[in-house]
Amino acid sequence: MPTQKIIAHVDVNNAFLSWTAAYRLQFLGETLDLRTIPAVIGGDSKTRHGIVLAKSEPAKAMGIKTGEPLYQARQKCPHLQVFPPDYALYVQASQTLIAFLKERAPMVEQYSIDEAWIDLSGTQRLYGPPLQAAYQIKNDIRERMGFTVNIGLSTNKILAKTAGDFAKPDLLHTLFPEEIPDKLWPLPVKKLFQVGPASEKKLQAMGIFTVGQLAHTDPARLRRALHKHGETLWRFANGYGEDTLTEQMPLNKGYSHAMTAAQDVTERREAHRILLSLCETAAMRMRQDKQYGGCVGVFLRSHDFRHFVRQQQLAQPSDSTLEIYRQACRIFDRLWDGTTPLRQLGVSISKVTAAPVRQMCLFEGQDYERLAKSDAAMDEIRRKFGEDAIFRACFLQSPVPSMGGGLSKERRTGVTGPLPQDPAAAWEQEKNPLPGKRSEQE
Amino acid sequence: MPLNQPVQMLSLHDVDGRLQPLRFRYEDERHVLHTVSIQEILSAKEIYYAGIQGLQYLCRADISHRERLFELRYLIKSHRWILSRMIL
Repeated sequence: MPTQKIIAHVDVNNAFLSWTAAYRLQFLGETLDLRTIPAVIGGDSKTRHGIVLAKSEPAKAMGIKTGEPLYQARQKCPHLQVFPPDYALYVQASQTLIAFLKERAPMVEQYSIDEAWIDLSGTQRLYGPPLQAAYQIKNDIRERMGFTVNIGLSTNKILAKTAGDFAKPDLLHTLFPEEIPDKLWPLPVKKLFQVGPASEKKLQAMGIFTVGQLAHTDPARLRRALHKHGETLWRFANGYGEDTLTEQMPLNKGYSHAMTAAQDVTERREAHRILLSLCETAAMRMRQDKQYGGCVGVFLRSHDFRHFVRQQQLAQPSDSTLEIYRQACRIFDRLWDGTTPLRQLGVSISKVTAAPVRQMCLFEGQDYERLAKSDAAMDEIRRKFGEDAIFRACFLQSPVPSMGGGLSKERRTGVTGPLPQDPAAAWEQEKNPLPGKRSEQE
Repeated sequence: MPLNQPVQMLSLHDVDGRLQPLRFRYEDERHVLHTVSIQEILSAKEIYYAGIQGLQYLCRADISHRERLFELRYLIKSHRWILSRMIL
């Protein structure tokens, strides 16, 4: 008899805030629990990094949303308490949580810094019925670590994650296939995993407002409106989903870095220097993954928040900093009018392949083997002695860092994804400027 | 007595991996150093609060001519001893 899988989704309630709160209670001897007052974790508004990263339940009740500027949050709640993020603590908390889950379950798939799926199939004889096992895990985390989690229990990843979102905090919910009509279908479509604002709008235009309506729509019709994504959503709405966990991180589909300038950029030279700094970071990451990019893109944001994007294929896939930089400059020169002040510049590398076949070109005077050698030497020096140990001379007297566009150093410890084993590879993880979740398709 | 501050500690790391606090020293508000010899460890356990791993000891000792119960913590990652709580 094929046994049904049991998958649980573990999600830390208001992760950053809970961790800071637990730390302050346990190690600073404070008696006030931040989780019980309107409080947020937010960047420093003085350096203009002032957005809400996490909020307490009372803050949420006052309408404060994650990602909104701090000044806006203060307007909603004048007595709001703001605490700075402590990324080293969060990484440690995340590691300890994952290590604990690995003690309890044979397979753990970390999804983001504060979320993981665990496979509880076949643990009945060890821990009793799944519901009991999940309760035990939830309560043990609370007792041992001083923060709470939500657990969603079901037979696949999607249902488990959806169940974990039902009501918070410190709760356990089930969403087994037979419960779908009662628990999943009455929900508005935006509650479904992978339904963002854009998909929600399209679905509503089709007259689909609840998950149940989505589940009963002809998948062919959804495919016409939302392409492949429509069919995926239909599968989710009907409770079909992946039930196999993996500990392997999927390879990156692209490498993208951006930098927001402290002062608007108005000079071509300065812009090129920023592009070089971004290309250094992106190309080095790519070389570490042994990948080659086939397409280079440049994106700009002007001082009045207009966006400009353009991308172009390389003649052949490359991992060379200089080659990618030259292409980025060509694209930039065509994209920019030369006068509009630029606030943010970004470089993205896509069409990534692992096949390093280089077609020799008769008309280019560039010796790519030499370039590759110098790149490899620079990578090695940076790995050994730190990334500031060697850099191009143009960064010598420049305010632009030689390797830009990542997370600041303290944040570069695997905050956005599972931690790499090798500390030298830690900055591979600097994918998103904000702590975010990997999307499913990646 | 300063709580939640690192203290100087003399401790015993046994061959079986056990860790035992023996004696610690702290500075009071008037910058006078006090040495406390631990007389008894009543209990010990591993802690994971906020994901920070450590060992917590409930200890008994005479401090300023008075018998006191207090909690000491050893934080594994930062290798620090902290006097976290006075109980009696």
